Amino acid sequence: MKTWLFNPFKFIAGTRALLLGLGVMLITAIVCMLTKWHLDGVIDIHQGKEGSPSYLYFIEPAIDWLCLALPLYIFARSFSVSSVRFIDIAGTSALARYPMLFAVLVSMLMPHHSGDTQNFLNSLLSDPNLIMRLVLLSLLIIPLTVWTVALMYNAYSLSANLKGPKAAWSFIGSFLIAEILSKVILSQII
Amino acid sequence: MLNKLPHLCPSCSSPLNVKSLSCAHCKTEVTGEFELPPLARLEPADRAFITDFVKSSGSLKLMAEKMKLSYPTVRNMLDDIIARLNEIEKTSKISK
Repeated sequence: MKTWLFNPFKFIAGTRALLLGLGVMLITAIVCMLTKWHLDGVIDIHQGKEGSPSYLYFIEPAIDWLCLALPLYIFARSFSVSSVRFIDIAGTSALARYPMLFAVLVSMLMPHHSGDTQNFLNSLLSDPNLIMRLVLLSLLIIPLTVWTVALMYNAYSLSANLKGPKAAWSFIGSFLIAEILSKVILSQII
Repeated sequence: MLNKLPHLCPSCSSPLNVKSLSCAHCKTEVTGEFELPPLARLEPADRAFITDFVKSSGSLKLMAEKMKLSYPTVRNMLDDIIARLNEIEKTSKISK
């Protein structure tokens, strides 16, 4: 059970993982479009302003995924002695994003933020129940985020056959590059 | 039940050699100093993996299907065995 939760890549990788991952990413994008939540970074979820074009909800997870998969592949080829395949890195890192669907579903219950921060803060301060809901749901998002990162790391470690500090540091490097790259690319699109 | 083949000296951890071989049928014994091949020094599970790998015509994809594991998992298992074989060869060279 633990392996299926944190390292399903032991059993599923390559094209199968890619198709499953893309399927979950598509469902996540549809939920995001319906609820106006944006996946504007590798593991970012933010409530967006009204009027975002529909295609943006589908482009965002694809950019987030590719921005991580590409540096992971470059680092894997540089540090691993195994013959690393791009399909394994791409497939497993796509499947590793599946907890984002749960995170988006939890985010749906968050208080609505229309884009006006001052108004949002005023409504929060006037309603203690709203603050409580925001805190509780934010606490739920944390383990989901940790779960996603753990899956992304395990996907990389297994696909690249890297362990220990080499795996950890190259993953952190890739993750930072991916976060910056995704933010820059998405800011250019929006 | 077959005993596990010891390949390291329990006293100094150097690689062990074969001193005598016997025929199970006529009980003829051959004595001498025979070096164990690197593959024989691997753990039984590793040897079983290599046997299956050869029987699968060296196809990791086929191995993955048989073992119900993903391709990179099986490739990593093979890479780990290669690393252990390299280590065995290195130890054997040092002990000579």
